[in-house]
Amino acid sequence: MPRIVSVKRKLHHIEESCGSPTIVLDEFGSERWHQDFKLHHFASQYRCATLPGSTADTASPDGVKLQSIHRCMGSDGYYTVYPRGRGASAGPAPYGYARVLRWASPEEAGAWLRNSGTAIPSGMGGDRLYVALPGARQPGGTGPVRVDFAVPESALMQTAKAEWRVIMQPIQSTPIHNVIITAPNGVTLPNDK
Amino acid sequence: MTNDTSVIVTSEFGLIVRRKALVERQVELRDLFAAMEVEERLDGCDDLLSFGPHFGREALNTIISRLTKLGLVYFDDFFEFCGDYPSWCAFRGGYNPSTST
Repeated sequence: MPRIVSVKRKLHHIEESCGSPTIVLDEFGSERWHQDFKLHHFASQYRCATLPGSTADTASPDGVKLQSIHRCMGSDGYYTVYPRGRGASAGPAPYGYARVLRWASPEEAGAWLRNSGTAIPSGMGGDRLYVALPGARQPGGTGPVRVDFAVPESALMQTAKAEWRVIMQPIQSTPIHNVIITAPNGVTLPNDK
Repeated sequence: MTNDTSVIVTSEFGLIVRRKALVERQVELRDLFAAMEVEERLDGCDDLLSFGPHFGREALNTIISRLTKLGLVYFDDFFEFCGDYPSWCAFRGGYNPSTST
């Protein structure tokens, strides 16, 4: 099922163009080639494209294989991936959910992509998955890919650091929401099924 | 540096480093801090340095790998300290020179 992108096309930011066009589906599902979009997100400028249907893989200009996900190119050296579509990532989380984030390796981020951002992937962090509250500094030893998501507050346990929380695994039966993956340009997220 | 003979350690993926190992392996303190991605340690005494908490198993493994690349040897020169302990219990690590490598 193609997803609809609802961003305003702004032609005056062509200087930030991706370099290669991305396929965009409009509300009727027809493919068009777009060079440049701008939307505001996390106080940065992003170009955003909705990628085609749920079955066919599409290779993005820098090699990320995407399957029915949204991908936005950031102007600050990062790109953003929405595993369940931008609408699902930006919508309100259920009552009792809290936003947290995690810095992951590209391999781990690939696992978040593969399960379409519906649950915390199994095997992450052993029996304890560390997450940080919004605004926390990136901890040492962590990967370059940032994964933002919403998880039930009741699953978050205090840690020695006030800005961190830990989630006891396994928790795969608990749905998560609003998954947003932000990776540096040039970092490829493995997404092989 | 303090005159205390023990260091505070954290059970949340903490690392304890033997100070003399840095000299023996010719590892600069700044390189150790760079590997840990910190500007200061959790605690230190004449013989030990304590770091942490770290952001989970993956982060700790990454840092251990960096320390190994610096030339430090796991167990002989440093080790991890982690486990499920209640937050009301604090731990300290002391140096035992009689069993030093």
